[in-house]
Amino acid sequence: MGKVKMEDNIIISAREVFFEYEDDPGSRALKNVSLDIERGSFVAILGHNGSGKSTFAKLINGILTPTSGRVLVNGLDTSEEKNLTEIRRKVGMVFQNPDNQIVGSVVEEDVAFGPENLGIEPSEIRKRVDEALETVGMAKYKLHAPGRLSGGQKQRVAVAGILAMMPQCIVLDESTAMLDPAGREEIISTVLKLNKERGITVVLITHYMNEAARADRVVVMNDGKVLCDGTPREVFSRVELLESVGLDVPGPTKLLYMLKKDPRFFSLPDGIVDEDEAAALVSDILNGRKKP
Amino acid sequence: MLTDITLGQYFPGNSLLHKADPRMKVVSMLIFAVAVFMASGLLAYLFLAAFVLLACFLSGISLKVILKGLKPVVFITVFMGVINIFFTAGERVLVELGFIRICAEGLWAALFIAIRIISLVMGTTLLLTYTTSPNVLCDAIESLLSPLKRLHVPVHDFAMMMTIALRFVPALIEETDKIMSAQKARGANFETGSLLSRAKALLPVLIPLLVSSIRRATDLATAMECRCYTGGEGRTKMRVLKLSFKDWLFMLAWIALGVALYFLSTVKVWGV
Amino acid sequence: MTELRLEEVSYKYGIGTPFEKDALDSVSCSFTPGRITGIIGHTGSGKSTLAQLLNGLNKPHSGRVLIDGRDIWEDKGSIINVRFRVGLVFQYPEYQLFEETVYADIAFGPKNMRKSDAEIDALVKSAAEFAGVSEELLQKSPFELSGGQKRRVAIAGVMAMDPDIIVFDEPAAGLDPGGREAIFKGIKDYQRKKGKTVIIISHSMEDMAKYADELVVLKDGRVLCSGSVAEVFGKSELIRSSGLGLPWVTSFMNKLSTLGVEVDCGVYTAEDAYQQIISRIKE
Repeated sequence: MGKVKMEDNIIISAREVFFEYEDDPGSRALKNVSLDIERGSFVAILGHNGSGKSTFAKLINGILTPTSGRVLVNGLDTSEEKNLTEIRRKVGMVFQNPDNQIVGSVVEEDVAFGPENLGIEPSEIRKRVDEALETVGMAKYKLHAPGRLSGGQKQRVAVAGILAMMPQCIVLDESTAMLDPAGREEIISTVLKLNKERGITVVLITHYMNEAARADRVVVMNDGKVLCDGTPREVFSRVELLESVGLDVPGPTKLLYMLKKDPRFFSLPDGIVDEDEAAALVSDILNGRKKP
Repeated sequence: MLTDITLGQYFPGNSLLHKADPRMKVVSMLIFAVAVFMASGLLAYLFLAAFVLLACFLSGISLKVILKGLKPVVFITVFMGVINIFFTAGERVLVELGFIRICAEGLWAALFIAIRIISLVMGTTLLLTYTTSPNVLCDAIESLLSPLKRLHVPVHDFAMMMTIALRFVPALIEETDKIMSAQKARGANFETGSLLSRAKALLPVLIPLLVSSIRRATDLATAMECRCYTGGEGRTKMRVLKLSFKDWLFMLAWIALGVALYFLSTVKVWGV
Repeated sequence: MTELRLEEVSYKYGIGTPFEKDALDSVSCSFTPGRITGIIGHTGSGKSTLAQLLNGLNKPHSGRVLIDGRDIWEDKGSIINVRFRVGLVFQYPEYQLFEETVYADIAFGPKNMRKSDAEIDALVKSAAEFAGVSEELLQKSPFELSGGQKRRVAIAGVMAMDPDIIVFDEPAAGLDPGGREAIFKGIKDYQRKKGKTVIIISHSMEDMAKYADELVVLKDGRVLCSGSVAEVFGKSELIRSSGLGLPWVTSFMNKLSTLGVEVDCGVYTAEDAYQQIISRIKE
C-alpha cells in the first residue's frame, strides 16, 4: 500500500502542508504546517475561528487533502484514495454538531454503523457496541432515540460509534463547542480516560483554554500557521503572545501573570493552569510561608 | 406545537409486538390491510375493533398516546362518517326533513367506516412505526426486497435513504417549530390572512429550513464517510434477522384475523 | 420604563405523551428595568422554555406573565404586540436568516410592525450599528457571511424592532473567545446607550460574572436563588450543591479563604480578585 517510512512512535505526520479552499482560491487556510503527533499522546490544537485548526483536523483523515505537502497516518498518505478506509478505521472523527453525525434512530444501532461498514461479524459487532457504550457510560441509553439525549450524551454516543471501530486515534473537531459546561466535561473526561487507560491518541481541536490545559501538549494555531507548541505550562506562560492574537489564557494563569508584575509576587512561576496549585502558591506568599 | 405529533414515532419497549420479526410485521400489516377491507357486517367490525384493541393492550403503549396519534385522521373520519349518514340510501328511514333523509343503514355505514379507518391507522402504526425502530423497519424492507437486487435495483441505497429520512423526521419537525417561533418573535403571522398571504408568510420558514437541511446533509455525508461507509457492498449487520417459530405464529394470528373476518362477514345480526 | 414580572408560572411539555415533563414549576421573578439580568441554569433547567413565555410565544399552563402589571394573555388578540415590546433572540439565530440581502432581513421585523419606509430605514441602520454589522454588509446576501457576522445580523433583526425589553437566549453559543466578547460587549453597549432592559439566558457563569447586573438561577424548573451578581455568587455553597459551578474567580477566592487568607469570597472578576490579593500582602 505504498507505506512511507515513518518513526514508529509517530501516528500522524503533517509535512509542509499548504491548503487552499477550492471555492476561495488564494485563501491559504494552512501555510506550511509541519507537525508530528506521537502515538498515545493527548494533543490539543488551539486557535480562534479561521486560524486553520479545523482545516487541519479535516486533513488528518482525508476529508480534505493538502494542496501541497502531505499528511501521513501510520505511514499511509491521505491523498491516496485507496488508503482512506484503512486510515479512517484507525483515526475516528467526532464533529461539532451532535445532531448531524448520528445515523441511527436508536443509540445502539448508531454505534453499530461503523463496524457494520467494516464488514465485521454480527456477534463481534454486538460485543463491541456493548463495550463501547459501557466505556462512555451510555449503556443504559442503548435503546433510546438519540433525539431525546442531551448534547453531551449525543457526543458520547458519537465517541462510542468511533470506539466500536477500534481506532488508534480519535480527533475531536470542536466537538465541545456547542455543549454546555456539563456536556463539555462529560466529553473531556471520557476522552481523557480513553487516552490514559487505553493509550488511544487524542487530538482535541478547541477554542476553550481550560480544555486545552488538560492535554499533554498544546499546539496554538494562528493565521494558518503553528504559533507555538509545547506543554500547557510552556504555552500558557506566553500570555502576551497569546493575547496578541486574540486568545485568552486560563483564568488562574492570567491572575498570576497580573500579580507577578508586583515585585512582592515576583517568585510566582509562569504558566500555572490549575486553580488549586495557583491558590496554594498565592496563599504561601500571603501567609508569609515563602519569601517573595 | 408540532413537536406534540406522535404519528410516525417509535416508542421503545419490550412487548410481544416489539419483539416480533420486522419482516413478519410488514407482511402482517399487508394481510391486515386486506383483511380490514374484507370486513362487512356488525359482527365482523366488532371483532376487528376487539382485535385492534387487544393489539393495543399487548403493545404496552398507553391508549391515551395511541388516541392522540389518531388526531390527524379525525377530520377524514368525521367527514366520511357524515357523508355516509346523509348519502346512504336505505329502507329504514329515521328522519326525513325536506331533502334530508337519514336511514339506519346510513348510521351503520358511518360507524363501520369509522371503525375501518381507525383500525387501519391504529393497526399499521402499532405494527410498524410505534413498535418497530425505523432502522429495523428499513432492514426488514431491504430484506424483503432483496430478490430485486438481481434485477439491479439499488435496494440497499433505497433502504439507507429511508433510514436517514426517518432518522431526521423528528429533527426536521423540531427545527421547523423553532424557525417558526423565531419568525413569530419577529412579528411573522402564519395564522391569519388570505391563502396567498399565508403561503407567502411561509417563505421565511421554508428558506432557512432548506438551507439547514442542505447543511445537515453535507455534515452527515462527511460523518458517514468518516465511519467508512462506502455503500452496501461488504457491509454486515449487527442484528441478523432470523425467523423463529414464534414469528410464524405471529403472522398466522393475522391470517386468522383475515379468515375470521371473511366468515363473520357472512353472518348478519339485526340485518347488518 | 417597562416592567416585566412572572407570577407562579408553570409550563409542561408533551402533555399526554410518555415524555410529559414539567419544564417550569411555579416560577416567580422580576426583571429590573434598564439592567442586564442573567437567567442561568443547566441544560434542561427550563431557561429556554422561560424565554418563550416572556414574549408570549407560548402560554403558561398556570400563573401569569405581567408587563407593567398587566397579564399579557388578558387580550389574546393583541399578543403580537407583546412580541414587539419584548424582543427575543433565539439560540443560533443565524439559522433564521432568509432574505436576499442583510438589509431586508433586518427590516423583516419592523416591516411586520407596519412602520413607514423612512422609519424602517432608520431602525435598520441603528440596529445594524449596535449589533456590529458594518454598512457595506447591508447589501450582501446573508448566506455569504461568516458565522459570527450572521449571528450579528440576526441580533440586529430583533434590535430593529426597538423593543422595550430584549431577551437573548445563549447569544454567544458556539463562538470563540473573540466572538463571544464582541457579542457581549455589543449587548452591554446597547443596554447602556438605549437604556433597555436586557435578559440574557446562559449556562456560562464566567460570562454572567462579566456582563450581568442581576441573576436568576434556575434548577429543575424552579428558581434556586436570585439577586445581584455579588449576592448570588456569595452563596457559594448553594450554587455548588446545585452542580452549577462558580465562576473560577469566586471559586479561587473560596480556596484562598480555606487556606487561611482573609478575602471576600463574593468577588467574581479577575480585577477585583487582583485588588484584594494585593491589598492583603503583608508588608
